Amino acid sequence: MKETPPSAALTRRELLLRAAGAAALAALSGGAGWFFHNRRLVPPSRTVTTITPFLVPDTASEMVIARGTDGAALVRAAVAGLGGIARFVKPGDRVLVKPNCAFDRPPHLGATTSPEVLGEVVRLCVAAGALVRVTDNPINDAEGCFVKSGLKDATIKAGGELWLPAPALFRMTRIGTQKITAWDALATPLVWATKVIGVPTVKSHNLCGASLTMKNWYGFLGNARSRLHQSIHEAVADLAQFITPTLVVLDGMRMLVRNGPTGGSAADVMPGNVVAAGTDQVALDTFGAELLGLAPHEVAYLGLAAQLGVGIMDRTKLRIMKEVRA
Amino acid sequence: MQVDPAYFVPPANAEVADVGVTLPTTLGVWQTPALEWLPAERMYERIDGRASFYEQFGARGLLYAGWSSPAGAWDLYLYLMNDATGARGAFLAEANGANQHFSIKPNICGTPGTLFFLHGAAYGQLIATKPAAPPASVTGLVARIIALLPAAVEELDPSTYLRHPAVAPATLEYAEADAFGYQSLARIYSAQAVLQEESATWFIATLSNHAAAADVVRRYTAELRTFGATDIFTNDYAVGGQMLGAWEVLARTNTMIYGIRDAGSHTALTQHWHALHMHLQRGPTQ
Repeated sequence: MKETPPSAALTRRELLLRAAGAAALAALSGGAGWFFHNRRLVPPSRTVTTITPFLVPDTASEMVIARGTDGAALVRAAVAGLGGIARFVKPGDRVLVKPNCAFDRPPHLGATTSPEVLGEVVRLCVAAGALVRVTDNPINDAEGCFVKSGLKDATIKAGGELWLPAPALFRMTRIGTQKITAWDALATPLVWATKVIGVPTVKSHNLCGASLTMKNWYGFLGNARSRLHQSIHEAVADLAQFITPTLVVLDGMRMLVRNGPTGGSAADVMPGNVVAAGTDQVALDTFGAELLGLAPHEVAYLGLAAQLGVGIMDRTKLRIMKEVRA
Repeated sequence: MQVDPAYFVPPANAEVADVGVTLPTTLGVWQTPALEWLPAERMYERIDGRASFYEQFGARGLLYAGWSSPAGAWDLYLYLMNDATGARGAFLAEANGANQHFSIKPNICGTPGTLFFLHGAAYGQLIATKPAAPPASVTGLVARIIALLPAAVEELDPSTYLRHPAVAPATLEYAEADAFGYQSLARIYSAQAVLQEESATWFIATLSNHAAAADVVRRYTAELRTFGATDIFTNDYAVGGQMLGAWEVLARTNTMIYGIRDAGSHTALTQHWHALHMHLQRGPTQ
C-alpha cells in the first residue's frame, strides 16, 4: 500500500517556537557561548538516533562524469555508466532523495538543483520499483521553495512524493566527530528510507567556497543551524560522516559561480552541462570545486573529509572512474 | 508602537516603522501580503549562509516582501546598511555592472528576471518568479520604493575610494583629461601604492552610467593596442597588458572604472589589482 507522507510544512510560528526551544536548551546546557569556543557539541541528555549507512555493498569508490546539454540524458548516462540504477535501487526500496532546495528562487538562478536532473533521478528510481520521496528543510517556507524552484513539479511528474519537513519529523541525531556530534535532524525520513540519494547542485558559497554534495546534507538539519557557519568546514566534514549515501548525482547543469549560496542574478550562473554520479562524496565534491575554478586546498572541508576517511580527493584513484558524453 | 518584527504581518498600508523605512503593502498596482523585517542577526532565516556577506557591509537588516501585480511577481530583498558606503560596497560586489545585461540608471542594473538598485544606505534586489519577466515591468515598483527610502547621501569624492593603507596620501593626483596620456581616461584620481615592496599606481574614476564606463574600457583597449602594448589580456570587464616594461590594467564595475599601472611585473600587477578590487568592494573611506 502506498504510504502518504506527512505534508505539514513548518509554519513561521512553529519555526520560531522551535528556535526558542533550542535557545532554551542551549542556555540549559551552559549558555550560548558554549558552541563557539572550539569545543565539540555535547548532545543534550535525550535519546540520540543513529542513521545507518545507505551505501550498497561493492559500490564504493565509483564515479562517472557525463557531459552534454540534456540534463535528463546526462543523469541516465552517468547512472548507466555506473552499471545502471538496479545496482543501487531494488524493487520495494524506500528511496529518500535530497536535492538542494535551500531557497525560494527560480531554477535559472542556480541556487537550487535543476528540476530536470532531480526529475530524472526520481523517474529512474520509480522505474526500478521503489517508493520515492523527496525532501529538504529549506530555511524559507519549504513548500514555497519546492514550488518556486520547480522541484515540486519535477518530483510529482516523475512519480515521486514530496515530504515536507514538519516538527514531528525531527529528532536528536548523531552527526559527526568534529564539531557537531549531535543535532536535531530530519531523522524520521532517514529512518524510513532504505536508500538515500543526494542530488546537490554545483554552486559557490561565500563561507566555504563551494556548496556541493556534503554541504547539501545541511538541509537535513533543523534548529538554529546557521550557528554551524561559525566552523563551517568542520561542520561540513561532520555532515559527510552523518550521511553515507547510496548514490550521489551532482548537478552541474547550471552553476552558480558567484554570489552563492543565494545568487540572485542570471549573470552569476554559467552553463556547466555536466552531471557526475558516484558514491565517493569527496571525489565528487573535489570535481565540483574544480568546476567552480577552486583548487582542492581552497575548500578546506575536502581535506578534512578525506582525513576522516569519507573518500578520496584524487578521482583517478577511484575503483571506477569514467567520463561519457550524452 | 513597538512591533515584534518576528510576527510582523501588517495590514494594508501599514508601515515598518522601526527600521527607518516606510513601505506600504500597496504601491500603485503592486501589492504584497506582508513585509518581513529581519534584523541582521536573523537575516539567515531568509538567506542562510549568505547573511554574513551583507553583515560585512554593515547590514542592519533585510526587508523582504513578495510583490505582485498583473505584470508579474517579484521578490524584494532590501538590505538596509549602516551607511551609504556599505550599501555601495554590497551593490558593487553583487550587482557588478560588467556582469549585468543592462543598466537603466547609474544605480539600477540587472539581468532578465533580476533588478539591482542602490539608494543611499539601501541596496535592493528584485527577483522575478519567472525568469523571462522583462525588467521594464518592475521599474515602476523600483521608482516607488526608492521614493519612500531616506534621501541618498551626496556621492563622495571618488578620491576617497583610494584611501587604503598601501596608498601614500601625499601622492594623490587628479587629471581632468588625458590621464597618463590616454584620451580615453578623464577625471581620473590616482595615487601611488606599495604592496610587499612592489610599487604601482592605483587610479579610479566614476562615470555617469554603465554604458559610459563600458565605453571607456572599449576606447582604452583601442589605445592600448595603438600604443603597441604587448601581452594584452582581456575579459568581459577588464583589459591590460605590458607597455615599456611596465604592466597595467583597467577594469570596470557598474559606473566605476579602476585600474593599476606602473607595476613591475605581472605578479605585482595582480597583487595590486586584487587589493584595489577588494578595497573597492568595501566602499570609500572617509
